[in-house]
Amino acid sequence: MSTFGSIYSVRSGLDAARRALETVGQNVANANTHGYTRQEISHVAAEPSNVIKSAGRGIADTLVLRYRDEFLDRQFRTRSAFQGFHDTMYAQLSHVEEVIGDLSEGGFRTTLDQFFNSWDNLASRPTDSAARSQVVTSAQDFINAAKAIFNDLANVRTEADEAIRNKVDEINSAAGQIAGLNQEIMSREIGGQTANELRDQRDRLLDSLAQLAGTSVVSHNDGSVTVHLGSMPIVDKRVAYPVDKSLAMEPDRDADPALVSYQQQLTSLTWNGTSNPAPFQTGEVAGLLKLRDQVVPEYMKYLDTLVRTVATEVNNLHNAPDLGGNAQIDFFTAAGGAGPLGNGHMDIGINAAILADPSKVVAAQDVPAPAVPPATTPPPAASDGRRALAIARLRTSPILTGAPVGTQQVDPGQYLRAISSNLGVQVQQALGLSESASLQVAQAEKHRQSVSGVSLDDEMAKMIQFQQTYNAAARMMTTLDEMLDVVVNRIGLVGR
Amino acid sequence: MRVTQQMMSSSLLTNLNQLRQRTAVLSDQVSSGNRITRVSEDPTAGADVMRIQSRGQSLKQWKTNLNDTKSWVYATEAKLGDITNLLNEAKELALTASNGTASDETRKALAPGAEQLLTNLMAALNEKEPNGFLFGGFQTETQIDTATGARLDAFSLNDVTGQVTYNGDAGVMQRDVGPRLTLDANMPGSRVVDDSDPDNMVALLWELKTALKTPVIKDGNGDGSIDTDTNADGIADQDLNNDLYIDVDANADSVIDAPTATSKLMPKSEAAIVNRIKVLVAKLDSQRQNVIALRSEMGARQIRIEAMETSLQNTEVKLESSLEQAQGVDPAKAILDLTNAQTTYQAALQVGARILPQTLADFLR
Repeated sequence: MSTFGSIYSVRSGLDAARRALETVGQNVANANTHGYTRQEISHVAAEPSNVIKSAGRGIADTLVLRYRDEFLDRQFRTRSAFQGFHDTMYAQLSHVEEVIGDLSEGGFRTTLDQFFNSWDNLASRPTDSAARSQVVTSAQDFINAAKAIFNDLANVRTEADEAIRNKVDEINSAAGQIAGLNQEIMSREIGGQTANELRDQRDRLLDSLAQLAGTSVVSHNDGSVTVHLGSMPIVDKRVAYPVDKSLAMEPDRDADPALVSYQQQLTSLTWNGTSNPAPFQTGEVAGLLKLRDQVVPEYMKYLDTLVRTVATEVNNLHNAPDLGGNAQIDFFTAAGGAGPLGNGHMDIGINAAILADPSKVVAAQDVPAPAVPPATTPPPAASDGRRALAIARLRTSPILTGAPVGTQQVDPGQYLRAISSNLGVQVQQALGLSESASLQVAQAEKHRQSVSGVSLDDEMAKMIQFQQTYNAAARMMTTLDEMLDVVVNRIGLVGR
Repeated sequence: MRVTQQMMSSSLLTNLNQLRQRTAVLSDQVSSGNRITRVSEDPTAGADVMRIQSRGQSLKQWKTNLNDTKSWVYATEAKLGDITNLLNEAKELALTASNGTASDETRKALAPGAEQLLTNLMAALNEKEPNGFLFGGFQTETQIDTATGARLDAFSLNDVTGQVTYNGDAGVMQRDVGPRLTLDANMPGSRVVDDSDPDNMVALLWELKTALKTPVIKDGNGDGSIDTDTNADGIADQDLNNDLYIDVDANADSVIDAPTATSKLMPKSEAAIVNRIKVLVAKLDSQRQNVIALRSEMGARQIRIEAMETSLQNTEVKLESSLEQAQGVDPAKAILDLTNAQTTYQAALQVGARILPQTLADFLR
């Protein structure tokens, strides 16, 4: 080895220790940075020279390592997509539950009970005009409460739709950024630079994209990634394929004519430039879509079925002439207060003639054929409340069947309770799933942190280690200096 | 496993957050007294709560209906009692009047009493308390005949002919007082007074009154035959066919006419009148028996109503307690849980305060 060879190898040691300390500094500084991946310097010892019995020539190379486990990333992203889906479902379903699952008295369920109670009251005192007015008022309360709930549900859909638009914007922007980062990382790494911070940034975007859209990631050797939404690539290396959204009238999704009129203006999501629907299977957007297109419409339909059936049955019983001998009229009509019950959802109202004159409410079983002028005033059937009693008894008549109760025949109260119970179970399930998903995500995050997170203890230990290495190398330098001092300044001075 | 500062702080935060949520839920429960406010918190209990609430609404209506039925049945029963008393009095009066020692003057003196009884009977039959005619069936209001302007109460009496007419109908008002439980509220008047029966109680009382008011024809000269030819038909007043009415042959075809409203009001022999009243006593008694039977029917209804009242009250208590069970919070348990949650929360805070700030840096010089 040459005279100054050792100085060079010690210098490489000093250099390496300093760079290692810099890395420790970077790690400590980013200990609390979200999505930061800890880095470490790996040293490669230089080979010795060809001189016999020579030690190595110090440190040849330093590599910056990035502690990241792709498998854990994949696990985290799958779980967070699942969590995104169920969190969204739970949050939105609780809105729906606020509307129809409240247990306090005075809600829609009470108006239904009071509607039947008012008919019962009329049956007891048919001559009392206040009882007739009460029937009309309570029917109005019933219809208004049902309509309010129906509108609230429609609003839940509109709000979900807005959220979908915002989230799709986020997805498209994230996809664009990822494509950009792919480009940057590839060009940097090919030039031998490190792009660890860019990779961290990209990983953060991939995380949030997974939660939003349930995407999966394939990484390539050149440092870029391809992101799949379902089976379609949404980012392929340098290119992003955004999801298109367009606002359009929701098409009829059901042959049932009763479903026609809750058509709303909703966003349809199509694959980049095509008319194929974008395949959202899991993640927040899928949760919102399921809620908007399946869950809420179902409850709207149940509610409509309930009100429509009650109205139809009341009309069937309310089919006698009134006390004045006027021909029979329907109690419930289309929304405007005239015409037959409509096909559309909640196209229902109280006959305007009855609203104007509650005496047109029919309570008597049989009203004799009208004579002109009437034989007596009031007519003989004035105190007959049998028809009102029959209507009041609808309360316990099994007139409803179908979806929330299956093939069972149930009364209106049971049907309404089945709707609420059904929803309650659904919310409870969603809560359970979202809680377990959160736990899984937390677990996966923990594993990931365990690999990638910065531990201050580690860093402190390394700091001491590298500091001491630096000290030792410096001492070595001093020693070499002293040795050279001897050689340069002391040799040849004997006898001076 | 490698554990970093971030892992520790984030898991501590998660745990603290969960504890806080639990504390919030528990303190909500304790302060509101309700274990659940939404169905999803406990779908089974939620379904129970909704069912109980709905049953409570029905129960409220059943109680109203029962009270209404009660007022009808009690009023009807009381009125039937009044009518029984009236018939008793009428019978007493008839007995007195048909007594062998009763003179024409005695009967005359009794006549206003009989008239009063008739008025009272009509008033009782047309009773309008508590809510419309008790005995009108579905006709509970006074109807005005649009053609003649006549007032049609439940019962109307033609005071000249003694003919009573029932203007009501056979309607029976029903009230639901429980699940598939129905009670009848009223008793149609046709069951009390059958206006097609000539021996109904109103007709009997009218006859009694009329008989008492009818002047007696005397045998002044004591020849055993009646002195007067009241209707001046050339035939002495007598009762040949012994039907207690004066014989009249208005169309002179030598056949005695059937008794008419007019002939009922004709003067008669004392014996004929006494006989008539004696017959009335028996008929009044049979009417009284009928009313007593009806009254005991109402009595049976009263017993059912009282049983229903007790059962509805019991149901109400049961509903309240099962609502409490389904929705209510067990205060002891909730407070204990709350205390536990608070203790755990404090412990977690302390542990966090001790562990989190420490790193190796604290021990390096």
